[in-house]
Amino acid sequence: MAGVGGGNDFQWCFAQVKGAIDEDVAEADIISTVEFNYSGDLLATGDKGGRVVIFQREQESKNRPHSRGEYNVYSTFQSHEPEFDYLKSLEIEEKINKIRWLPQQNAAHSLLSTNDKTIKLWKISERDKKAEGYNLKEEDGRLRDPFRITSLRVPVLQPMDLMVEASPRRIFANAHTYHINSISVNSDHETYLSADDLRINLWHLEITDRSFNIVDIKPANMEELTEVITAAECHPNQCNVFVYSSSKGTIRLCDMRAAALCDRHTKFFEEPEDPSSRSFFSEIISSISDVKFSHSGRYMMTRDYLSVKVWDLNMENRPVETYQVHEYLRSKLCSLYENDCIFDKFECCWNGTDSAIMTGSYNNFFRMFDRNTRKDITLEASRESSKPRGILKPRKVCTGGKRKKDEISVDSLDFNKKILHTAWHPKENVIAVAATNNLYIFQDKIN
Amino acid sequence: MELNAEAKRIMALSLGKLYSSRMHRGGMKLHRSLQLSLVMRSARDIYFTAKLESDAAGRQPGAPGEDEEVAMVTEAVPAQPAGPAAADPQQSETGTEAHTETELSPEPSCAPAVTQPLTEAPSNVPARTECKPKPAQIVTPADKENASPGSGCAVPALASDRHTRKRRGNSAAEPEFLPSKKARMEQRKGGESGLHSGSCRGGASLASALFRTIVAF
Repeated sequence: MAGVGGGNDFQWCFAQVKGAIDEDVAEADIISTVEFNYSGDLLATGDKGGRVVIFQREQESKNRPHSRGEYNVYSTFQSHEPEFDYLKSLEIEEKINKIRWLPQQNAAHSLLSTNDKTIKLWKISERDKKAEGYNLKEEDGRLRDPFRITSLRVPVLQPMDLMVEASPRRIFANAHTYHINSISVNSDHETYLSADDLRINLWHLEITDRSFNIVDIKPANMEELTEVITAAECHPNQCNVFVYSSSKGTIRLCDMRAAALCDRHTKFFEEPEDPSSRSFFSEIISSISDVKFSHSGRYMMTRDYLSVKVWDLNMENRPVETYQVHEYLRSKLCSLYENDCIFDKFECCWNGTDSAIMTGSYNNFFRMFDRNTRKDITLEASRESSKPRGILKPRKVCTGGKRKKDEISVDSLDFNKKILHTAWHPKENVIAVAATNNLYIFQDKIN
Repeated sequence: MELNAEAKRIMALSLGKLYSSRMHRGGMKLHRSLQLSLVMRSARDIYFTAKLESDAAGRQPGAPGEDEEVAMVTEAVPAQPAGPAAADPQQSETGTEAHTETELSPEPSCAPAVTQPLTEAPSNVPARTECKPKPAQIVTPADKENASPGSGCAVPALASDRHTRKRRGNSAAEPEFLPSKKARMEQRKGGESGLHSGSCRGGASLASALFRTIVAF
């Protein structure tokens, strides 16, 4: 799989965009999470209004064997509703923080979706047949009078229009005092972890009334609190290993075989701070907003405010690769603090072969880095540059001096247009980019 | 001095954000509160470092007084951001209030201490007594009935703040501690921009304004 924009005439082009075109964006429609399933045929999005929308890729048509299928809406359902915590007089937001697919075990698909407090397991199943000819009830459901029944018949399955049903099969509630930031399905396909600011819990997918607390960093005196958990993930193939990142820019790798409570890490990843770049905001921009293992399990990637770092699990004292996402913002941190953008939590993702990584930025820009060629590219998700199968033009931010044609200056960037959530198809060069309330799908150009 | 002004501005900005985060749907985010308190601490450290350097360079009128005020304020600052976070979310809202109320006890003791340095330097008494009532006058229209009538002491303001804490969310059109209001008044009077003057006036107003905000928690 090719990575980025260099070599082999590889180029990204626009495929589809989902969502309203209105300038006036309803807050409930803002996409808060995007995730492909294991095969890449299904793409799930969650939004601030608590809704989950699942897109399914059309089968490649026989007429056009080389064009990829389009993603169309497969199922839409309300996953979470706003709730009220009467004890604390606090509203619990319905915003979907994360969606994680479960491996498919039968015809139905399952996913976990979570808001700040409650995780739900949803089963999405298809129904394309219905039984007709019941003995005890009419076709419309009314019960038949038993005395009127004079003969028995066997109900027959008749085809019907495809109906996709989503039903909540498990609800995992009341295990988190603080706001849930991550969920991650374990490679054993039986357990999963959920993490909030101070604790990580391990669940069994079948058991909802119990979870095991495996990490607890809450200090005895909350005034001594210095860091919180910002993200957590299970290792892709070692079911005893997981990592969690902190607001101090550190990552801890834990082994569940070592102890029941994994407060003591097995490995501790931290890069020494560069003293020359200290400012009011150094501490907060080092906070890690996302951590993702590579598919191989050999590496992990972390995203802080200005950069993405790739770590080799065998080397704790520094990352093996560092990529600057938008270094030109370092001199603007004060303004970004004023408008709260400095608190934005960007996610990052690997491509299927771990040769490239992607993350979002402002002005609806997103960045891709090829780990082999060390080339990087900035692309934009916008309606203007979205002609059908149109090739995406690389964008460039002018950091000072003369602005060249087609470059955009830092001061002209729109900080309200931020790309926080992106996803890469597990096998192909297809990416999903969430730009506020729109979902863009891009794919590589098929020559 | 630029660094001082910037540090003060950032501290005030951070307090505003901490205050408004209480109003967010879903409650205060622990991570956000922690980050805000870290920024405030950085700003405080940088402020003090810069202040020490400028004091070493040469004394300015009112500089010692300003130091002590900001010291009082910033002593309260690290404790307070942890305060809302420290309130165990398992406690009820009243429990949270009780916790912050116990934190008020050190602050009134600070308030008299605040007035002391202000009266110590006789050369600036006119300027200081002039600026003392002003913090009490910086109120939003909805809070006029709760404002102390220019007694010059921050303590009555604390008591009235306590009563109005729960209803604040709806009535406050704008946080009252924004130093820019003070600066404008100063400009009309003295033709200086309050924040950048580095004189006691800017410091006193910011200190008192910060106090009232801390108490509002």
